[in-house]
Order: sequence, then C-alpha cells, then structure tokens
Amino acid sequence: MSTIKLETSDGVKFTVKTQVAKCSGTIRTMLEDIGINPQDGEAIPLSNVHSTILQKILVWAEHHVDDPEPPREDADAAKRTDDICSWDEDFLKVDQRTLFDVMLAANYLDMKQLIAVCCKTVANMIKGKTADQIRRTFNIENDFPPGEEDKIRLRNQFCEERSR
Amino acid sequence: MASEDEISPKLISSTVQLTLHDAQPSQAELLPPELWELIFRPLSAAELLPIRRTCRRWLDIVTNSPALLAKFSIRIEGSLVLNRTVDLSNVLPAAKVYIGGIRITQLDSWWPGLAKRLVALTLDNCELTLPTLSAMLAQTSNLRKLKLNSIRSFERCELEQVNFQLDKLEKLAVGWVDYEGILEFCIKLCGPRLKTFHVHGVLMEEQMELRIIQFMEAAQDSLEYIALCPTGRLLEKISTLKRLKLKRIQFGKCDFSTDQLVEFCRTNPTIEYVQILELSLSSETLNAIGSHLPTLRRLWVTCKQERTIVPTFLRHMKGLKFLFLYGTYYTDQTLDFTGYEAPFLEELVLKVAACDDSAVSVNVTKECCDRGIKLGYDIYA
Repeated sequence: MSTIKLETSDGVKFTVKTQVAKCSGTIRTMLEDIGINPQDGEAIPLSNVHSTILQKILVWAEHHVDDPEPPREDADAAKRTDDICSWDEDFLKVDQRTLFDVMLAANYLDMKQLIAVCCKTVANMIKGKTADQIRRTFNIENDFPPGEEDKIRLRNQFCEERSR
Repeated sequence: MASEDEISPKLISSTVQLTLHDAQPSQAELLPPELWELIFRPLSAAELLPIRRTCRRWLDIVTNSPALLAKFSIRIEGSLVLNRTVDLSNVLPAAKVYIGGIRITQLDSWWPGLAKRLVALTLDNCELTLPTLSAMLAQTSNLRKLKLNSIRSFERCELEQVNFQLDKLEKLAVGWVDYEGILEFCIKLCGPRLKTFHVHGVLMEEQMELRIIQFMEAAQDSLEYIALCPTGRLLEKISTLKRLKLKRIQFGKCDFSTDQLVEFCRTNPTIEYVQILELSLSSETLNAIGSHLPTLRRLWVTCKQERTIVPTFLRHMKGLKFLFLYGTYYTDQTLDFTGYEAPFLEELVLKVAACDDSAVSVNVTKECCDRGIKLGYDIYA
C-alpha cells in the first residue's frame, strides 16, 4: 500500500496512506498535476495546518475514504442541515476553537465534504436563535453604535421569506 | 423561531459557560467571510434576519452576498405613488422586488438603491409610462427574471431609444400590458440568455402574432420555454424558426386543431415538457405526440372524456417520468392502466374533485403501488 509523508506547521511528520491523503483536493493536485513524487520520501509541507488538527482530519478522512463521490450540484442537500450522519456528529462534538480550526484546515486542504458537514454543524448552532443568543453562542460583541441595531431591525421588517 | 424573551434552559447553561471565557476574543473571527457565507447559505430568510443584527461583520457578509440576498424579497404595495418624496433607504437591498398596485412617476429617490442588486422584478397592476419602465430597467443590469403583469400608462408617452440590454435576463413574462409597442421594446431589451418567454392577455390578432413571432425570431438561439395561447397560424409560424430548439411548451386557451398541435410537435422534436391546458386530446393524438417527441419527460394533459381512460399513449412515451391528468375529476371517469408500458414513469398526478377521489383511486393506487410510481392528487376545488 503506497504511503506519503505530510509535514505540519509545527514540524510534525505524518505517514499517510496515499488514498486517504487524496481526500484533500490540495494534496491530490500536488501529486497528480504538479507531479510531486511521493516515492522520494520527502514530506509534503502543510504550512497552514497544525499537527493536532491534521491528526483529527486524518481520522475523518480514514473513515470517509470509501465514500462515493457526491452528486455535483445537489441543491437539496445544500439546503438541509439535518442530514449529518451520526459518526460525523460525534466527530464534531468538539469545542468551538477546534471546530473552526478543522474548518479552516479543511478549506486549505480543499476537502469539500468535510467543509460541508462543518458548515451544517455551525448553521445548526445558529438556527432558531435571536441575535442576542447568537452573540452569546459565539462570544461576538455587538459592535453597532446605539440605535443602529434598531435601524436594521426596521429594515428587516420590510423583508419576508420568499414563497419557496 | 424562538422569540426574544424565550430562552431555553439549555441555552442559559451554555451562556453561563461562555461568559467565563468573556475575556477571550471571539472565535468567530477565525473564519474568513467566505466560510461564514457558506455556513449561512442553508439558512432561510427568517433565520438570516437575526444574523444581520448580530454584528457589523455579519451584516456586511449577508449584504455583500448575492446568494444570501436572493433569499429575501420585498413587497411594495398599496395605494402608493412612488415619486420623488419616497424614501426607501430603510429597505434591505433585496434581490427580489415585487411592486403591486402602485403608480410610479419618478425614480431618483428610491429606485437606484434597489435596482443594481435586483435579480427578479415583478410589476403587478401598476401605472407607469413606458419611458419610466425603460428608465427603471436600464438600471437593473443583474436582472434575471422580469414579470410585467397588468401594466398601464396614465398618459400617452412616446418611447425614446432603448440603448441598453439586460444581458443576464433569463425569464420574461408579459401579461395584459397596455403599451402599444411592448414587444418591440422587449426585443431590444432581451439579451442572449433569454430562455423563458410567457406572453398572455393579448388578443391573437394577426398584428400581435406578428410581433410575437418577431420576438421569438430575435430570441430563438436561447429560447427554451414558451407559454402562451397560440392560434394554429402562430404554431405554424413558430415551426418555421430554424434555430429554435424548444424544450418546454405551455399552451393555454387554445385556438388550434389537434392536427396543428401534432404537426407542431413533429417540427419541434426537442420538446421535453408539454403542458396543454384547455384542449382534450384523444389517445390517437397523444400517440402521435409521443412518437414525435422522443425526449418527452413531463406531460400535463386532459384526456378526451371517455368513461375509462386507458393510457395506451404511454407506450409511445418511453422516457416519460411525470404525468399530470386534468379532467379526471368527472365522477364517472376511471383510469385503467392495464397493459401500459412506461418504464421511467415516476410520478402520476390526478386532478380530482375535493370530495371524490374514490372513483379513480382504487385501481390506479394498486397499479402505481405495484410499479413503484408516486401517486399524487391535485384537489380541484
């Protein structure tokens, strides 16, 4: 079984099955298009990813390595947030910092399915909440000058959800 | 959605936990705007409203995203006159705007703020001059859908030049528009992406037919879907457009013979969706339509009133996925599917009277169930 080496921002080297590493579009491009030769034994540098996060992402990739390619433009799947599989749900039961770091790394590594499931997880943390509750959930400061928020509230009143 | 003062016990406890970390900057800052935008995409317009009020950064993310703004629509309606005293600066720049029952005299104060982001515009039951309409549309360079319904002018006004084109326009619906030169105006307006053209409420006089055909001739390279009430003569003329590749037709009040319809299908073999609203078709006609349209996928049709509908025409529609039958609401009509073949049929919808679906349902339900076809009813009230 062919393997390749990956090196994280903190200098940790991982030996990974090539097939698993190819869950990342970024690594796939490096191997296939740019022609980095994994046999050389040289590690591919992932300068934006910390070892603790890569470790976690590799666990995800290992679990999902045999997943079929998702349909290209699945409009319905993109609208839903309640279709996260239970394994992923457990996998993403982490503190916010880690969740966001995984998302950033998945974005850097171009792992669309992982990004999608992270997005849905965060969207579910927002759904059904008021602005105040959202701020508390993400520890966001209300940086509107006094009165400004009321103006936005007023603007919002003109809006309505489109029919479908 | 939970209201402002309803906080569930679960949330209170998480709030307490979070206040302990208050000193830290928000983790939310870690993610770039494009990832937040991706997160917000599955949310509904109602769920996006509190997002806009959360903080400046999130407000900007929503306002700068065409995909998110597309979820909002605003309605401006009532006995209003939109003139230079109108101030709509408090209105969210939504991507869809409906203006109904309004007289429009002047644009400067309220229109430019809305126009640029606009993706869909409906003017319904409005009074404005054609030059005003032209001035409005000249500012909507991102418009994809335009619907003009029941429009009249309050004064006679000649249209000056139209020196712009809506390059992104995909769908145009014109109904009961009381301007003499509306279709000539539309020809100049429409760009290379126009796929859908609905035209209604204009008498099919020869003069109007000529204009419709001129319009379709100009748009034939991109046009795929037409909805209108044609005469047989118009159908013949449409068939002469060499580059037209129709995918979908919807014919309302019909003034053509079944032979003319069959001939139209023969000369337009690319049609995939057929919707005939007010003409009952015999099995022979449907057989002929089926054999002329090899890629027919969806069909809305009224079968000739016979006691029992035997959809033998399905044998000639091997690729049909969806069938909608009007007219099955006559109580003594039944459906007999014996011997039909349509391996790809996925869904059958029957128009039925509210109180009486029993006449058609029993044998059809069984047939559909046996063949794994989804069965639906459209209740006729």
